[in-house]
Amino acid sequence: MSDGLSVFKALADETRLKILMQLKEKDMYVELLAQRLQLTPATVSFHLKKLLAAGLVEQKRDQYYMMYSIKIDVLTLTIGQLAFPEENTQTKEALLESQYRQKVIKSFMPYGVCKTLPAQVKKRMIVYEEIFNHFETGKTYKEKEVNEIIGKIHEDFCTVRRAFIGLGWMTRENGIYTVVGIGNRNEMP
Amino acid sequence: MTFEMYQKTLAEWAGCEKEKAELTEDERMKSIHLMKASMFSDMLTVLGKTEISGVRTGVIESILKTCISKQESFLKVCDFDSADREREKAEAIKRAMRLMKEETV
Repeated sequence: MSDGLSVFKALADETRLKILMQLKEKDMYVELLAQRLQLTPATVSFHLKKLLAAGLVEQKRDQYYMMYSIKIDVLTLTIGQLAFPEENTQTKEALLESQYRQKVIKSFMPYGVCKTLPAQVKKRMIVYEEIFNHFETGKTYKEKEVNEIIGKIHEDFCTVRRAFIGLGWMTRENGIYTVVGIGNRNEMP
Repeated sequence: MTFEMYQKTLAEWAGCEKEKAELTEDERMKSIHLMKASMFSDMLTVLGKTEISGVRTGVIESILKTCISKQESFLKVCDFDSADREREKAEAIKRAMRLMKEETV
């Protein structure tokens, strides 16, 4: 992945922009680019090195020639994506997290039923969250209702119900359970 | 050619290259002029001293040969910029060698 600064620096030159425009048309070698742009091969070679360093072009050997081609994936990035690459990282992390979550759910909750709770805390939290999604935030439930909802997913409803209380996702008063929500996440009880 | 004379001329050449670097807007030419200025003020001054005093002769010539050899290698991999830099280096070395021999520079 190219970093924004090197891309902007590489693009801030008329000759390099002309080179990119030529390469957009088709892959070319230095001499041909030099001929088309009426520059010396040394000058074209110099600018191509800058473009290579910025990750805007790539090179590959083709018999006697070194062919250069444009990297469209970098050029299609928006200015925002180039200027704030950390946001891309956040998106990537979120994507990885989501993939991991799906993997855990698939393994421990096939067809929406959990036979065994995962021993690993991180995985168990994912399963708890998945079960908890069956409750409506702000709504109150009788203990019997809570047990029924959890029991449809996992037979040891007592453990799960207690975990929800311990995590602060639910509160209990006189046998009535109020759903607080996952927003108030606590540590694993 | 005395070393003092040699050093003075090289300092003048270095100054001239620096001036050229300041005047040009071409990124590549600017870096070449600065490279040559650095060669005249440092490397070639030191090498000239050892060459003129006779302490170590032939070093400057071996560096020239290396530059020519590198130039050929760069051309083989189509790195025309680096090849041209080596050619510029070789030219600068040759110029300093001619000065030492008190030939026309």
